[in-house]
Amino acid sequence: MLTWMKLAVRNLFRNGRRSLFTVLAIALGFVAVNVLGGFTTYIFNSLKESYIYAEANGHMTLFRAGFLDQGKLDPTRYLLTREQQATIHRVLAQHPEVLVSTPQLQISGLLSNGQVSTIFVASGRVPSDIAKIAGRANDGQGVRMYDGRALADENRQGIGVSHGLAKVLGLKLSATAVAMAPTVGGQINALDASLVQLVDAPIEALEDKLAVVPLAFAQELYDTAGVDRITLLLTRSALPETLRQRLATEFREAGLELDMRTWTELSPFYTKAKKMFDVIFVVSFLIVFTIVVMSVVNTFTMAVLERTREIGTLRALGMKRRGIVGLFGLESVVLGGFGALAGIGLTLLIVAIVGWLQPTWIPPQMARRVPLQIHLVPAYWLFSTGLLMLLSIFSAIVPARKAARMPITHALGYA
Amino acid sequence: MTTSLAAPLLEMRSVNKHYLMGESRIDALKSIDTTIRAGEFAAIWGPSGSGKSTFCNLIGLLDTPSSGSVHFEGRDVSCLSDDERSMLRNRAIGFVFQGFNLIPVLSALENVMLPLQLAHVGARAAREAATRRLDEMGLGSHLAHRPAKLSGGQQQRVAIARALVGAPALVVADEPTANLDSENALKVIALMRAISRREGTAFVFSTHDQRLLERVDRRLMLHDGLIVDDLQVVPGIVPLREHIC
Repeated sequence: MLTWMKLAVRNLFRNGRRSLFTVLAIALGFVAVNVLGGFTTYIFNSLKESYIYAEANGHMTLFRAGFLDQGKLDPTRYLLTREQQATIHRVLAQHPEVLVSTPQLQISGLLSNGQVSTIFVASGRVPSDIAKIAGRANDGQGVRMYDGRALADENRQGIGVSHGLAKVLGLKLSATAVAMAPTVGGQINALDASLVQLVDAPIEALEDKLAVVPLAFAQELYDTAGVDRITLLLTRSALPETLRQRLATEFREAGLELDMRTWTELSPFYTKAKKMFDVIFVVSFLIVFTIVVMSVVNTFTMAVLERTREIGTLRALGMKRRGIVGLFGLESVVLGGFGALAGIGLTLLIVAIVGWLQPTWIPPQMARRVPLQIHLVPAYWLFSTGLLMLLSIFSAIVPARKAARMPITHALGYA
Repeated sequence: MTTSLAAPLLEMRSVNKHYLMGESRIDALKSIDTTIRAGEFAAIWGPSGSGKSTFCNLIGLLDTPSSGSVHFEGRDVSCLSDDERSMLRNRAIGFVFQGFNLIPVLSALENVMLPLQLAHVGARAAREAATRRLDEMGLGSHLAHRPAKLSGGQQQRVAIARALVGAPALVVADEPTANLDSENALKVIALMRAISRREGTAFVFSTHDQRLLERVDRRLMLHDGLIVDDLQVVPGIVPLREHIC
């Protein structure tokens, strides 16, 4: 085997320039796939981290059955009562994989600066729970998506509004405003609020109407003790789907009819973005590997032509047809191996350069610059190395089989 | 016909070989009946296009006849699969090509080791056997040299060492002295002759070289695909000469 490996390596150096270009084509293919793969992994991870931790939406959300279908018209009919909330928390307490369970109440109404008013939609949350969720982010704090101070449990009137909404109403940090909304009983209620933070709206459409308020503020404005959802933050190793099945049974036994949605079901943007990047990745993959296959096929077609007499000699000496195919196959493995090694080196170099330069960018659904990263994904490396090897072998075998089936006398007489 | 004391190594019976070139048919060999015996030192000669190469291809099991049969060590080679013929060539037949056909990226030693490695002989045993053969050829100090660093004569001797390293029953040599000067040619012929006598290896040369023709035991002359002269020149083998046509 060592002899054949030696022969394979030396044969590759016979036409060093051609082999070098083929190795470079394989290496660049590897780099393209793994840098793009590393970038898309970074995007997916960022979107996931942002949705779950920075926006504090957690891994799973529980709603009263029917809320998601009919709740838009009359959300107050589908609120979870205090007793239901207690039952839910009791059931969740049996599951150590649930790190945080926090109630929320989405509200809408008018926000006034005393002179003009405009509509707002707000998410009422428990500030201390939000801080706990953000604290579980990979970087320990999550991406900061606001200017000003964090909301606080003890400051019930302290709210945040989007930059656009603040601009419409001419509000600055520490300014006061009045929030008005109908209560669940149908009365108009109004509460004083003070602006403690300016938040980044995740989508353009919410830029002039988004607000975040403490849950107590939202409940007081709606005059209710109910909430419309309970958000769960799970351990990173927990499987939301498995937990959902178990919880469904336990909630049913506790007399609760709940609708449970995982974060991927509630974040269509993530799913769409992932599908889009997956398609881009596959198309790039196909283009890159077509170039690699063509390059390797060309290299081995030329090698077979140049070494036809040698192939005849080896056959005359007793090498079987499959031996010839194996020899070229081995050369292709060596070529693919060199290419993958060079690709790994180049990828590491690019990742190191990006890490050193620390470029920033504004990704979709973000209002501020974040670091651009390329993640190292060993699974992609292994997959692309294996695939490049296979493609190299496949590309070499076609001309090698042709050479092996050539009559020995023709091969020996080939000039 | 020839008779001899040695056992038949290869027998050709009513062998015809033709090639198709477009719509025209070329009869390269016609009704060949002959026997190559173990230890024979024979030459095939004749003008260009007489069928020498085709004859060598058939006895070297590189090709199969269009009709008739070639028996090697008693086995009809037409009945063997490509793999079986490859194994038989590797075990029993050595080749010396006119252009040497050494593998350029391998050293002299590695080139000579090749047939043994194809036969899955261990690396150490193959190295020892190849070194012995190269020593015998006077190339003990050139083991690590690649073909490009060797002279024509040295390359030819490496090719002969490669042909002989597996102790084959038959060596088929195509114009083995064509690229050599007289001194080297005579050395190579003497060397092959000595090995033939010592090891009982049959040598069949395709040649025009008078120096070689004068030193073989048997000369088969081919003309237009027919053996027209089969001359035995070794004492103890009768008849010495038979004109077939």
